[in-house]
Amino acid sequence: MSFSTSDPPSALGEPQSATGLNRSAFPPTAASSLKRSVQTAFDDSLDRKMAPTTYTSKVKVREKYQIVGFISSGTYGRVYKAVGKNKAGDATSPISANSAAREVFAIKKFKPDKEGETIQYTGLSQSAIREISLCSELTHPNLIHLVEIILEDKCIFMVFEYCEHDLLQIIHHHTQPTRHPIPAPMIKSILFQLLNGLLYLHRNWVLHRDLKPANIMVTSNGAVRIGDLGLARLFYKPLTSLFAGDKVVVTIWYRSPDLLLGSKHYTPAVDLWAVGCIFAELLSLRPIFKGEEAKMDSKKTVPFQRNQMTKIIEVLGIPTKEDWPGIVEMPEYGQLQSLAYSRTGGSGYNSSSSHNHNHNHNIGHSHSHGRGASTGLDTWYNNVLRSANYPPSSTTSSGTEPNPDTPGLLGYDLLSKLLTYDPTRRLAAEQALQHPYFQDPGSGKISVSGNCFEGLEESYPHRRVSSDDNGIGTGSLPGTKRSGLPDDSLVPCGKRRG
Amino acid sequence: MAANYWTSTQRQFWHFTPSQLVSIRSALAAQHAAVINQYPTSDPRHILIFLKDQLLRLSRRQSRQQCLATTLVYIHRYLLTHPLQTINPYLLLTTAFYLASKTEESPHHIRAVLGEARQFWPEFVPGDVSRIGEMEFSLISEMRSQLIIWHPYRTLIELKGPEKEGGLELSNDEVGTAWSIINDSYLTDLPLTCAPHTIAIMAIFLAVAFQPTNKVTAGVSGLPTFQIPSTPNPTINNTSPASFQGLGGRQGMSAVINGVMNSSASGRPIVNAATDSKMKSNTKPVPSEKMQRIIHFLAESSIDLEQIISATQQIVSLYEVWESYSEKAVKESLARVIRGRGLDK
Repeated sequence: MSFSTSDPPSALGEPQSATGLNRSAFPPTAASSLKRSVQTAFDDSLDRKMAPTTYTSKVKVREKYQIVGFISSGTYGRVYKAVGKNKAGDATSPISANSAAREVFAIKKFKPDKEGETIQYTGLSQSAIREISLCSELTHPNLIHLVEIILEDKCIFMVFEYCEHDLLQIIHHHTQPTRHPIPAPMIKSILFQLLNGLLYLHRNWVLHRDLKPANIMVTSNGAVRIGDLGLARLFYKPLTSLFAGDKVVVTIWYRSPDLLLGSKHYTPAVDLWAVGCIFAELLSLRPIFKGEEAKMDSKKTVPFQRNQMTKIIEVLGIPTKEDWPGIVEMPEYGQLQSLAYSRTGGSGYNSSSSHNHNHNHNIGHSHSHGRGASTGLDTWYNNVLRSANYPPSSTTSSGTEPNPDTPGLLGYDLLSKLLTYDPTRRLAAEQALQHPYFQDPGSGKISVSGNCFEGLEESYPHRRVSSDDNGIGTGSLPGTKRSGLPDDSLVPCGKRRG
Repeated sequence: MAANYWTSTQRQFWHFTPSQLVSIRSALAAQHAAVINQYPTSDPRHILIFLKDQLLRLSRRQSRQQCLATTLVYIHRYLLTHPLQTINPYLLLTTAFYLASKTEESPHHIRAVLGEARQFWPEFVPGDVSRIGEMEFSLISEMRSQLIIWHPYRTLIELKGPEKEGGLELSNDEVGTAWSIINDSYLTDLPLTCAPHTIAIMAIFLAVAFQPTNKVTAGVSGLPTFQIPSTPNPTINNTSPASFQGLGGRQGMSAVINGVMNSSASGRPIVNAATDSKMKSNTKPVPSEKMQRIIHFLAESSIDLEQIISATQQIVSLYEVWESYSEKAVKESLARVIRGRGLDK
């Protein structure tokens, strides 16, 4: 099967082949002085002597792209920064059409399994298949743009547009050297774009299932792009229950109560909870529900995430049947009751936060005290606004011109509707986009910039790109998997070795 | 994409006119003329019938039928660039099934799939998972990573009604028959030339025309009453591969369909009936109430009736060809190629 000829018949101008490229036609770039190690790691399998194979790629990744550094790693493999080798005038190149914007790329290399020393074809992971198939179908300004996919020498290379920033990195920047809040209009723009991308996904029956700051990219032009569709899947009439396919979805801090309570047939609402968590994190610069994940035991049963649920309860209170009628149907309802009992029974649960004293009502109680003027989220929100020195939200309640420099009461209203226990009452992406928070109070029209950096004096540091591939482990903290920051790159290269 | 077939990669890149298909295939044949002449194979539909039957064996214990349908579409696409004489069809089948099980979110482990395949075709499937893995690369690459497939089942479910406004109020038997016809459509070129909803509507039309109670009152009376055995309680989630049964392969199927199709004075009963319905003329024959509803639906919708006719003809033609199908002959012709060219290595 040597099939170098016969392009698929429907080429229709589809970017297909750059096999005519002559490598030597391109002068060495500055990047060629890059430490060998990154290129070597990238080439890992490419240079290896392999048994004769029948599959050969028509497009050679190294003929088209020059690796300039290493960005991050995960269980799937690694992400590299690369520049296109094609000249801008090359009309046959898929990247020339928009060369100015697309000259830099992020290449995600899925690592093949190794059996001993030789790399073998072992079948692509479900995650790779999802990302490949969904990214090929989806196109939206708030979704990461896929340039092409190259299958070569037992590896998959997904070539994406390069995004200079991500939300984790931006949040981190605002904690250095001291905490200073992200400007309110910027948060509004980020949130709107995020919801807009999410609406597109949901309209196309795609659940993302791993929204978190590290997976939300931002271009240098301030455009937000949802990334990492490795856990995403279609939910239109699924063949099996969503739960049966993936026992655990969404990074623990961003996991919704319905998931934590064992929902088998969850809905797009799980993504909206994560958006609520991200909104809160943009405001406070910390994960709002920073629980510790209980690990799966050896029998691969999914444990009840008691600690994470506790973190949510500390802010929102214990969910009641009135809040969430379906709660009694949840598989882990019993666990929740015991959790509630231990909290109200004064059994010495050691709460680290002190602002939640009014949330000790038990499940089954009707709304008792503390549910009126000031819920726990209300308190949390006001504390955050105060400590971040956003103008207090009460200034916006006059009904006149709201202050654009504060997320205000409307921001609170939106947040509380995203962080709603009952998934059927939680705002859908479409409703969230129509929330008054995004509207101009005068005209009632949506008034949000498509550039989240608009009007900003602050400039954000560029993504750290390492030229040393060694010593960067695949282990990662929740929320930090995707980006090199902050756990990887702040440590001088080499120190992490061993 | 998933919400809109018209923007899907299937529509953009894998939808062809029949004449486009002819030119693609003749170009491919010209390119591989020598080997094709050396190893002539059966009618392509016979090959697909054979592969479908083998697929049912492979998936006996582990499959859902949308997965099987996706597998067959992958095979269709791959054969556009690789003549049968250049591939190992058993390896292609196994790999396409393995890949489809992942894209349809009911994945099987590569070793499990290989184990099943080895059990059925030990002489043709190499005992090394890396061969499936490698074939997977080739398959994905040829399909340009466009793996999500739209199927007619969804339209059938949406249209069967009556709970939804505009539902066609189909009986279980009719849905089952339509389902079977859709299953058969994967053995023709329809997945490459027809939008899924067109196939679904064609199948519904035929299914309703088949049911004895719905028969056009004039014209069909001459036909023998023929109860179509249909797929019982079909659903996408049905895990029984038996439900991927079609109608083909039964004696006299094409005659029955032809009878239905030509039952009116004109050779174009559907078009005429639809047109008549629009013009509210009172020509004979008088269709049953349900048939009238469907004809009305066809007339009101923007569906290309010529396409429905042509799809029906492909199904009829499949059933005709099916009558001369011999599993043994196909199996032997494939074995000759595989052995002769060392494709099992």
